[in-house]
Amino acid sequence: MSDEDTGLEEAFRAGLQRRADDVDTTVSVVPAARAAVRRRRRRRVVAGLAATGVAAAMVTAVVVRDDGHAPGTKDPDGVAVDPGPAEPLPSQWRTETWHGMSVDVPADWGWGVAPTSMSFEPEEQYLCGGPGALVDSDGRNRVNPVETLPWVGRPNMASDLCMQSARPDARAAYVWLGAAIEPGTVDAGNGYTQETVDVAGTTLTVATQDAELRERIISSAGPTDSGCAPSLASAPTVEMMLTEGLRDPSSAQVCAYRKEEGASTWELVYATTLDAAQATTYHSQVYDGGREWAPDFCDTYVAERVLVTIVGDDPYGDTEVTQDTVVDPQCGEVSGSPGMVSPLSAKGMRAWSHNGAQVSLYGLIGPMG
Amino acid sequence: MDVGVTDRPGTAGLSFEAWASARVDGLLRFAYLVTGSQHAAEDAVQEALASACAKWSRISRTREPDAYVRRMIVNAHVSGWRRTRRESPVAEVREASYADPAARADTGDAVWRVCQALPRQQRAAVVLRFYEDLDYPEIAEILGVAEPTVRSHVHRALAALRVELTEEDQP
Repeated sequence: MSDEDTGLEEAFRAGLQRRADDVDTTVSVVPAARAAVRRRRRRRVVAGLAATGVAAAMVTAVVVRDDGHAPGTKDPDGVAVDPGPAEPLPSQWRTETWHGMSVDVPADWGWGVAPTSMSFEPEEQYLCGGPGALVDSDGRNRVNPVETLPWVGRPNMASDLCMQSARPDARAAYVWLGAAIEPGTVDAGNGYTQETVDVAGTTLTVATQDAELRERIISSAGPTDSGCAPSLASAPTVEMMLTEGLRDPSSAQVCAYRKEEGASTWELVYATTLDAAQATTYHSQVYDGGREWAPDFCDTYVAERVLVTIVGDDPYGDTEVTQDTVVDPQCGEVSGSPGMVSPLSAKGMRAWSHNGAQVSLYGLIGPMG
Repeated sequence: MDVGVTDRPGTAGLSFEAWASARVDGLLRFAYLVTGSQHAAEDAVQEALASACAKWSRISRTREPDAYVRRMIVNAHVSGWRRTRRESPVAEVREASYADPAARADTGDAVWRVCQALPRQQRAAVVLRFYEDLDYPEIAEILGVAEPTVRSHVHRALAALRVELTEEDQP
């Protein structure tokens, strides 16, 4: 680690400590927390009494879960009964990003599409390449959507085979990012409830059978914390190249941008973080030497660029350094130094895009059929 | 210097009141750094402690209470944002943070400005790293993200502070 980095870290420590020292800690938070717990327990018991009398209330007080999970169902007499163990929430989550919004979703959900409208029929919403997951969570492209596999969809056309999205017959849970749907809750069929909320200037739509899972997903949404800028005034470019390169890549940040037709800015459409193995493969493919370099990317009909920032170590020290690279997904070309591009091997392309990028970028979706 | 949340005695056998009373100052300071607001910090700590209290018999035996409450505070910040998202909290914070040009002269203020401008998860990572002195795997566990993501968050925060301080130095 360099002296400069050490100094910055020390500045953070000192600055945060100074702010922390100014916090008012005389407030009565512990008694208030205690009182809140008592009030909640009392409300549960009172609710039981009002509904079914003293005996039933005792039952209710026993079966209501302390942690506020799924509410109990009622028997024919209206008495609360234990619904049995609730489906546990997933333990593994990943973050999905669209424009200025990030949201956490179960890590084993795949990727697909969200509703989009056609220019000739702007009032109707269509799923073009769905419903269902087109890409598994492990990055395997199914080519045809798997209707029963939960998925995260973006408003893209992944196929020219489209169907109306308003049919209430959901067969799997889904999260739609940026769909043109009014905020509110609707029945999505088969026990699924679809809820749409406004978040960070776009929309988040979540459909699940489990209300707690839906709440968990929606409550995780907020302004993007992917590490990527949500919007760029111009296409990302490589401004600097490390003269001595970097060694032992530990990760890489992928920020994929698209400039829609008629738009003035490049919007973030997909983001993810590569692990050390993926980053190492990508790094080796970008800087493999012996390839032809050109001054610019090929001409394409899709304005998409992917900023891939590799994190690694300084070859001659312990400092962590980063190197920006930019990929044109349609060209299959990469810029690894200012003003220079070259072809990127299939291995290099796969290293950064073996994930939801396959159905998030038109350059990777390719010609539709 | 106040004792940080991580400098704690053992919790086995402690009552909720005994544990919470020993930890609440540190938790409030931590929550303030994460949320950027005294009011939000009090709400987040109260909510987290209420949850811990309701489950204390289980948490005190099978879980690490400090990590549990820190995670609750970070999550409460997210939920709190959700309830007030129409008020554009990010824009408000940024406007307030740059309101006083004289404050820019100080490194401590630069640190705070950078923190306020960071996305909430990055900010939590920075606080856990540089205030709580947690290592990267511990932070990843609390935030529920991969370790490389935490490293990236911290790295970008350092880069942002470098830029902030460089801009301050310029006439």
